[in-house]
Amino acid sequence: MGDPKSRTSEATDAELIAQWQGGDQRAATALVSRHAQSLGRFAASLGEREGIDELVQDTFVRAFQSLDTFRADSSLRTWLFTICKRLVLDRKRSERRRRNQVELDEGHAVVEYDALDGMVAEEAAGRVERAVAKLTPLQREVFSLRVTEGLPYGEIAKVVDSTEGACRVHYHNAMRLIKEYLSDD
Amino acid sequence: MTECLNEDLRDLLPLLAHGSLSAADAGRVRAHMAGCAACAAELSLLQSAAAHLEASAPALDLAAITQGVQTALAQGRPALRVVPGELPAGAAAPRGAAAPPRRTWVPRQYLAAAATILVVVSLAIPFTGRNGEDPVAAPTATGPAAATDTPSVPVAESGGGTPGAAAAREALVATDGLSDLTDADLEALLDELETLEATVSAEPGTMRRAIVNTPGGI
Ligand SMILES: [Zn+2]
Repeated sequence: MGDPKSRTSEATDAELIAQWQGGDQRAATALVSRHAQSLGRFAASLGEREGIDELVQDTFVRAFQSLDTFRADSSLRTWLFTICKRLVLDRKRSERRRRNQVELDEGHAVVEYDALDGMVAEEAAGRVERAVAKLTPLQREVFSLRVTEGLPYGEIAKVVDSTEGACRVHYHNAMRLIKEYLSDD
Repeated sequence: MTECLNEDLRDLLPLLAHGSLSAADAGRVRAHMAGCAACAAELSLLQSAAAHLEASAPALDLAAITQGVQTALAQGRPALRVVPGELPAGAAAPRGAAAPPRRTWVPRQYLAAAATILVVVSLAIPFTGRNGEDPVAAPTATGPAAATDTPSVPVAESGGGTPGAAAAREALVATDGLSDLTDADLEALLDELETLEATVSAEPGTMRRAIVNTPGGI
């Protein structure tokens, strides 16, 4: 395959990483193009609604800066998810701290804000959307990784810091709850 | 909605909805669904859920993200717009990444102070080492824990160095049989102390992808 463009589009993640480390900037672009949307979806499933471009960008920067810690036993995408998740958790922590500070400064209670509740209210969501929104954050995360990213349970377990068996249970519980919600609706 | 009892097959439904099943597996699932209304309904539900999750994902500006990544890497700085200083080291090495070496550099005065405590404790209570060994007597100057084997700790300077170390040495000299302790010995004692406190948190070594990192190489 002599055409460099088709070479990057067909290359595996490992090949692209090697190309980038060899100085080929197109490889980084290809990796971003390949995984950015998944990261954006994943961030949304974690309740993030704003600044997702920055989050995705920071995830890639972190990843490229620490490629030597990338282990061969998980896919690059799974690894990117774990970095993204850590950034999201960090964001939530600092947001919580900021809100607490506002509460202290202004002397009033801040109502705990569930990003997904807001999202669902805004969207006048349909039945399935509402059902998904009823899941616990962990169920939603596992369900989303399984359904929209098609990840094997073993890879999901790495992202959510759990076991393969537990993730399987979370997925099936999520499915059962969605069905129950729909039959009650 | 009744559920299909074929759990293994149901497990493949989200992957069929996602489009990531092999042709063979997809054929197998479709053949099953032809006679299983529950699985057919579940697939339909999964497709709706996937469509919703896709639709609720934000539209990304890929060009800007790519540009931002390349700029941040060219400048060699971490992109810390999230909250500077808050991201733990684990973000660069997330869960599953290789753990840093268990041993960390410890200032000699802390080694000495901790060793002093250990000596006091060992005098106060009858001490029994693991496997019947005496961990205090074992690491002598000719023992296996020679300074050259412990690169994480600075090599001992002659004369004893800091006042803290000197104080500890005095304490050790007062204790019969412990006056010859080197820094390596002190570290070995510390290791033993850690073991006794059951604080070991090392992760097993991990296989790393054989790629040499070239920071800022983009
Ligand atoms: Zn079935």
